[in-house]
Amino acid sequence: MHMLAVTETKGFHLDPRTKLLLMAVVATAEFLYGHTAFMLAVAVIPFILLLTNRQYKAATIFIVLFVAALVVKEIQNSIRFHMVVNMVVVLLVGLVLRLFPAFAMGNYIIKSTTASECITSLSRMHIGRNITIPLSVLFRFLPTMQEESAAIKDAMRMREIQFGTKKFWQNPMALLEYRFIPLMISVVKIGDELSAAALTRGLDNPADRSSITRVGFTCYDVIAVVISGVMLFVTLFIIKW
Amino acid sequence: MIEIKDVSFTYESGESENSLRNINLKIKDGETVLLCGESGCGKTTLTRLINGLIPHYYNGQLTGQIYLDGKEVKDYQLYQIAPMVGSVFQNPRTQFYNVDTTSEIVFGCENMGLPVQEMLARLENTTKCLKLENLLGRSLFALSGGEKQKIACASADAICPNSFVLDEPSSNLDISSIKDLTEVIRQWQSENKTVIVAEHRLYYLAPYADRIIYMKRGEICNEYTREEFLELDPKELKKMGLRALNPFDLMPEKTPEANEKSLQIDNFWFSYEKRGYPIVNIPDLTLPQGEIIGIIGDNGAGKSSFARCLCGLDKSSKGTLKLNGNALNAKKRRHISYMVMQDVNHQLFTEDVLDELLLSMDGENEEEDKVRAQEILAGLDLSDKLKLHPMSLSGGEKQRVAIGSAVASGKEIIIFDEPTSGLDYRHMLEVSEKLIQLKEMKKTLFLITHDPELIYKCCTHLMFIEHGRILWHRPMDNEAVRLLQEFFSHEKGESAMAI
Amino acid sequence: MQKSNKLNGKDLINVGIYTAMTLVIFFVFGLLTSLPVIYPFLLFIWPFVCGIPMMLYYTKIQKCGMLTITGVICGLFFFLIGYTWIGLVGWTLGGILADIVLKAGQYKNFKVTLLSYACFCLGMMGCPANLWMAGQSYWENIHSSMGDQYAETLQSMMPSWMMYIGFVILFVGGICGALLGHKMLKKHFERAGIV
Repeated sequence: MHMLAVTETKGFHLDPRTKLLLMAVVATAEFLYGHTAFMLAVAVIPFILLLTNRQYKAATIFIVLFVAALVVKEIQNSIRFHMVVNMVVVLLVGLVLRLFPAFAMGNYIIKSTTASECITSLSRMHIGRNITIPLSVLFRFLPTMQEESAAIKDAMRMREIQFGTKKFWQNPMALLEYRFIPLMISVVKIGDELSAAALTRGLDNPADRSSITRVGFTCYDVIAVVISGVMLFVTLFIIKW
Repeated sequence: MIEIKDVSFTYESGESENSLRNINLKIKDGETVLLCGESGCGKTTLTRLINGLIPHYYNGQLTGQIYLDGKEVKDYQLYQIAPMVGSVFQNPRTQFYNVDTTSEIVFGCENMGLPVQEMLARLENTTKCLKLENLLGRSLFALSGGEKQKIACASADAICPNSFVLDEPSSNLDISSIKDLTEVIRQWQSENKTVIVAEHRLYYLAPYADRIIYMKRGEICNEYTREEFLELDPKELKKMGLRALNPFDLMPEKTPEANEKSLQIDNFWFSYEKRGYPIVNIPDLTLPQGEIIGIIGDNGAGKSSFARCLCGLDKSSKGTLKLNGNALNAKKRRHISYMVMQDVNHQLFTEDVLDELLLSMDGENEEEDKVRAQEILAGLDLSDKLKLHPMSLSGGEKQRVAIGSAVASGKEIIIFDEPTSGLDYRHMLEVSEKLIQLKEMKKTLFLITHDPELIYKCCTHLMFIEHGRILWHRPMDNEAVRLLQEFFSHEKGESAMAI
Repeated sequence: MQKSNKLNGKDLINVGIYTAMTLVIFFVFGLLTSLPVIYPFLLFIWPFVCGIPMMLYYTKIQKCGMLTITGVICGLFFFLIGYTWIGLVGWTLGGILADIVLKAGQYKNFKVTLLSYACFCLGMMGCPANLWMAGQSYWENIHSSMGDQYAETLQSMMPSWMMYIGFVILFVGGICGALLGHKMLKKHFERAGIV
């Protein structure tokens, strides 16, 4: 699995900088929660964005959970649950309402942005190589670690090193060691070879890096920002229910 | 022009292996040079002198001068060498920096800060010359090893250097991908580029090289012209520790013995999605027990998936294996089978070699286990490495430790996935000896490989997989050899047509 | 080849690799962060397990700035997944602090590394800190939006003095993590020849 998308989206798409801005807005809005209308407005932003990126399943799950949480929150004071059940319900509702809009937004950003778009737009924001190089290495290594980790898991199963066996109970910590140490050794070795390969293609060149990836603001960005802004403003200050 | 004068080099670790002694070499523009020799002879080190990784990346003791277009390599910065020398390395998985193919191809150009127009033009040109149309805009993680290596070549090509340095580029590739690689090198030759390749597999390149340099223990031992080299006697090549020039037309060295015991496969079935297209679909198959069974087939034919089914690694795989009268489902198969992976680093866990074997034993009687583990390791020539960390061993030694752990846990079926990728003749022989040794211990071995020499050396049976089905399987007789050679020529030929 | 103090490509790639490793391990153990009940334990577990990749990372650090970058990238990541500005600021500050300690100690002995890592871990407070930093308005919001019970559950789990205790736990966890990482370094990485 990739952390970010691989192919660029056609049709409606936002500049990564706009996505970052909207994320900041959603993350901040979570502190300002007050009225139901405002919460809904906050949730609608990632919902619509998910729809534009054809992530229908994620969008549906998110909005259903969110609305359900809102409903439960509205009625929970009138229904008396058992104490423990109530605590769990309250926790879950809080979790969904408070964290899910940001999660959904994160999901959208991850699935709609390619690694090169992300790096290019960061350098457009005059963020230097000191951040962009490690970040692109990070994007490249997350899937690598997943591949390596899957292979190690297979190897462990073939050796019957797993949870619940007699060997496991003798030394449960060893399981973690077996899982993480080979992974790290593998990643370090890959990293060394990767560095060599990247340097022979001029990674250290002090010249300003150019990029083949096209990023830039379009009318979509304006539309998204204006609509979100108006929606949040209206629900925060005008419609209060 | 590349000129190396009186160069000696030793890595930081101080080992004599891979070091260089008194190298003198001139490579003219437009020349194709093939560097060969046993592992550790220093051919990889020599490539690093040319692309500047020595002295700019790998530290060590360097004397003598290396000139690149008249200027010493040490006076350049690495990024200044980048536009002059393009590099392709051994492992396709470790040399890409980006996540998608298009960015990867233009990676070098982006670093140089080329204007976008120029970059697009180069991208188009490289795509056309190396025939990459169907690879653009894809995730690098979803590509096969051969495709990744093609992208690596393209990435070097897009920088438009005058010379290319390739360090064992075919190590992890199958036969048809090697064919593609040959096409790329031919393309560079036609553009009059200098091409320097360090390589074990000689068959694909020797017919096109202008000069073949044979290295031994860090020195240039001999130089051949193409004609001289192609004339060399196969026995002579073996003595030099080199791979065969015609690996496809050898004779099998092992014959199957009469054998009543068999293992029976019933209804093996696996697919990634429920009711999706089956990747493995074997209704009924009887194979002999205690033999070395070579598994051949195209890339993506289902060889690895079959192996994973056999090991019981995929939970959703269906079917049973009958062995010694017991029908084993996936979970039980995990108990009796073991796969030695291509990247053996993944399957070594502990802090020393002896522990690695003890981990595979039941631990009922520690003293007894220890004695047995030491015996097994002695049989694998690892007696002197008992206390070393498995990861500090060489590739072949690691492989043997993995074999040892399989033997220690009493596995009946051992599967090898490309055990000889990137190995020279001597190490390949070593592997085949170990395989035969395991066979003598009555283990049933499966061998997924693209290495014809290894197949001829030790396989007693062959099975051919296509689209997840077994098309044929038979003992290694004349008919099998005919079918095998047909498969090889198809592998070589079909990709030629695709290009 | 230490010509300058400027970070070169190799350093930056190292930053990327070890940041990826640390983040992955952090995340694997932190998947349950949304349940406030286990926050106090996570404050110890996080620095403890991240000690392993980080100690390996420290062996590669010869220049100032690498830990700051790690902090910034981790912070960016947590900002992106919804830990707000405080996540970004917390991690960044932790990184800067760790860099300062390491520079002052001249990258030499293990005690400096240990202290520096413990400081780095303080930055992990960026993750749960929004609970406290948002202060009164946050609690009011929680009361009104989540109902009193949720807020009280949270408050009883995390009384305000817990914040200072939290830093102490992180610091201690950092020290233990560094020791664990150091042990693994000796046990595996050095013997495997990758340090």
